[in-house]
Amino acid sequence: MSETTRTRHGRGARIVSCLLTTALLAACAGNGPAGEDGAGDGAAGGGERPADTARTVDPGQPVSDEHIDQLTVGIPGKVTLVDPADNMEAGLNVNQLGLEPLLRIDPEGQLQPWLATEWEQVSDTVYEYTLRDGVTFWDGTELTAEDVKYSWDHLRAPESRRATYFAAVDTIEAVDAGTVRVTLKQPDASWQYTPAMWYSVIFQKTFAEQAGDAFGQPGTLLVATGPWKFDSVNPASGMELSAYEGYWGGEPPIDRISVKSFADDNSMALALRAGEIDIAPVVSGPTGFDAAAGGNTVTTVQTCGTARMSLPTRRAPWDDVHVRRAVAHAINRDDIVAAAQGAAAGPAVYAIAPQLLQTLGTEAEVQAALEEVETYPYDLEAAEAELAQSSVPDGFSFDLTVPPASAAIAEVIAAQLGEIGIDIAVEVLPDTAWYASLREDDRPFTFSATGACTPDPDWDSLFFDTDASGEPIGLNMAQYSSPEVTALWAEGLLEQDPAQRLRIYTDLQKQVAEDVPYISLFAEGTTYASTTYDLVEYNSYFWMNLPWALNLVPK
Amino acid sequence: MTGRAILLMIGKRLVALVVLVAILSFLVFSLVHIAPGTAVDAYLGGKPATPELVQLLTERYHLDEPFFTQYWLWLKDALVFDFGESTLTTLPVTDEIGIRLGPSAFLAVYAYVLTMILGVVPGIIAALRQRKLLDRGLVAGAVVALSTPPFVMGILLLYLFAVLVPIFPAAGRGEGFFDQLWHLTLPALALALCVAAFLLRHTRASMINVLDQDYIMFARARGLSWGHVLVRYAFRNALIPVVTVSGALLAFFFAGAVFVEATFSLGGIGELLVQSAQTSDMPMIQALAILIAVLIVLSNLLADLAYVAIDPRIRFEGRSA
Repeated sequence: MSETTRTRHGRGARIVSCLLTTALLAACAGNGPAGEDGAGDGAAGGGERPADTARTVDPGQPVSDEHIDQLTVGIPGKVTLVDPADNMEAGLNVNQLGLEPLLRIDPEGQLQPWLATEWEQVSDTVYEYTLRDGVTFWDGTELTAEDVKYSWDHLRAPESRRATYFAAVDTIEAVDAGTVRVTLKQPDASWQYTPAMWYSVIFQKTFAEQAGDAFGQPGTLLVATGPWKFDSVNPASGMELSAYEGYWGGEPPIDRISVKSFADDNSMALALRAGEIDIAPVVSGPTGFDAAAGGNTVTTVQTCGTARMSLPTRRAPWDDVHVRRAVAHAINRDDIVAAAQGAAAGPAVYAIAPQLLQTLGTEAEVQAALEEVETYPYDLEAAEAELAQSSVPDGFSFDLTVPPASAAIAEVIAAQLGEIGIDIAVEVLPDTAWYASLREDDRPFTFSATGACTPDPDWDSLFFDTDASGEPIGLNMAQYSSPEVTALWAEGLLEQDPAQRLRIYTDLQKQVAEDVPYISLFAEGTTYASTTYDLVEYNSYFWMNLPWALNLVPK
Repeated sequence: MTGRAILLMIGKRLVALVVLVAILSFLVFSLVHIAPGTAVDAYLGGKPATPELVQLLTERYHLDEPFFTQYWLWLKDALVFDFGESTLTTLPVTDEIGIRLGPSAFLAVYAYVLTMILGVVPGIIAALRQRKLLDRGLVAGAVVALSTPPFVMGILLLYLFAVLVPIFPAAGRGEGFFDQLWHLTLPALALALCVAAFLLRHTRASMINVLDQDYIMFARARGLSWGHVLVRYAFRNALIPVVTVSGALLAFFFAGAVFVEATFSLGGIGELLVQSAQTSDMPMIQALAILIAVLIVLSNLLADLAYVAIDPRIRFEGRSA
């Protein structure tokens, strides 16, 4: 139990640091003009956009035949180092051009081959991976199981930022040159996706051993298998990559990739407008970006991240479930989505994002399971009726504490709650102060975004984290502790049968919906911007796990 | 002032610098212990506090030693420019600063030179053409520039000269002298215009004041040429208050260009300073605080030396002559 606890704890830390980064960037970009044309409005499943079409070519192959001499990529933030155990911020979006995982996750959340051709769950706790023949590192030497073992051991070492993703792992062995065996400490159904994520990428053991402490740093870099080699990294301005001609998927379609760091969305948008960058794979404030970039530049798709409001269940009057239900009924998600400046892909009502359930059953089965869960539709009469039953029938006053990037949405929430007599004052704190407030004994009434995810429903467990005695810890902002829910999260990881897991997570969602510790607001979107190229399969949030420039197609 | 007196002045300033940095180093080192949470929290930088990692950090930063021992060990490293690793990026702090130092220094000097040219020259012209159309125009222009904050000026310049008429790049810092000059022209202008406008008014007022002095009239009466009077008498005297103002400018341009750095995505020292404060990146804050203190002291020393060059009568150290 302590192991799973630690897992969630660390994930929380990482996600909050991602949130902070996004918030910082968004805050910087906050002055941007707001565009009126809802170009950032496109939710997933919109139809014919390249972003919504799946890769149909073989692993390692480019989607388009077009040859590109030079691609200039704009990213918000800096690439400070390429060590996958420690890289942060923008590095996460471009290191995958050179660093590859064993597997890939397709838009349906299913595993597909990449550096590994086969994978097998030998028992509840043992997994084996067969490596692809003919994969070579940038220096021409062959990829072996020893390299995979070394990379993963490096990523799960205690000083690694990624250690918590590997907390379930007991041992990693190279069975022979082409086979890797992973043994878990206890069954963990969410492990299956780990070898396909951006935090489990493979690099060469020999080079890493020689490099020692300088491994991954700008002057040393690393050696991996991807289609583009890291030529240089400048932590203040960007990085340079060039095609690896011996790439196992064939000669890469782009000769040189130049990555430029930008301080904020606005400056990146103007560079796109001036033709200085070809594509920005991640844009945090789509509406403002599009306006500054001259229009028709952004493509937004829905992710499995859920922005949610957290109600401090241990503080009066939030300790009264009727108050929480009243608030849930008073929220009009459409207005909140509109206030999100294009960062929201659509309303969200469930504690666990529906995409995270799609691997557990057919569409109809998942739909049937979701229909069992109460969702508190926008209904002011129902809200007033709930409030009348509560300890504060005439309403009350409270602060809604948010970081600067969320201020606009917070004002909308305050106005909506004002309709039922709840007087909300928006308190805007600097990012670090807001983050600190999440760890105080008296948790704030606040809301936050989730960020990246795996396709496993356990991902959302971090907002329900408790210690061994059932006390809320980590990112459990609502300070919600329900023995049933805690037991269900644990059971969901131990159970291997998808249908059973769907049952468990449905029971869990029903219980959470009854208690309303959180109110989901919107499905987070992710956005790229370009006037010349599109990114195929961008609707799979896992595009960032792979050398995504292979998915580039001309507009 | 004699050469010896000047050397003495420089020597005294450098001793003061050492004392200042010593006091400052103690204060910034204490930050780690004053900040909320434990010293280990300060070095964790958002990583999960696993027992193994806490152990590792405790050993690396000698956190189990007494406070003054820790300070001494830290100071010894700091003296050879080893401030540890950034908790945000895990790169050595000195590497991170080093890579930004060049462009920031280039931008600061470039903006400084532009400020001097755009401030002093029109200031003198305005003073000589007092209450004429040219004077009025220059002063009005200065009011506009003075009321425009650098980041607004930056966005305006960016839009005009990188998007509408793309003769300068919209972002980036460039490599090599001429490429940097090209990349940093708009940022330097954005930084310089506001301060130059202030300097213009300052120079104009100072110059008008000097031109009204009796010794100017006497110099003219003695038959000296107008050019000679202007350069040798009026200009040198008018420049003294201007130099006072400009002393702190270089350090300001160096560390205070954060908005302009953000507008043009330059990746400079100012941005690093703000980022390290926002993320509580202690080792970075410590190194930057010391760097900026040293720069402020040195740029003031430069300004004082400039005084001496302009007016040898100026004394700094009592009656040394």
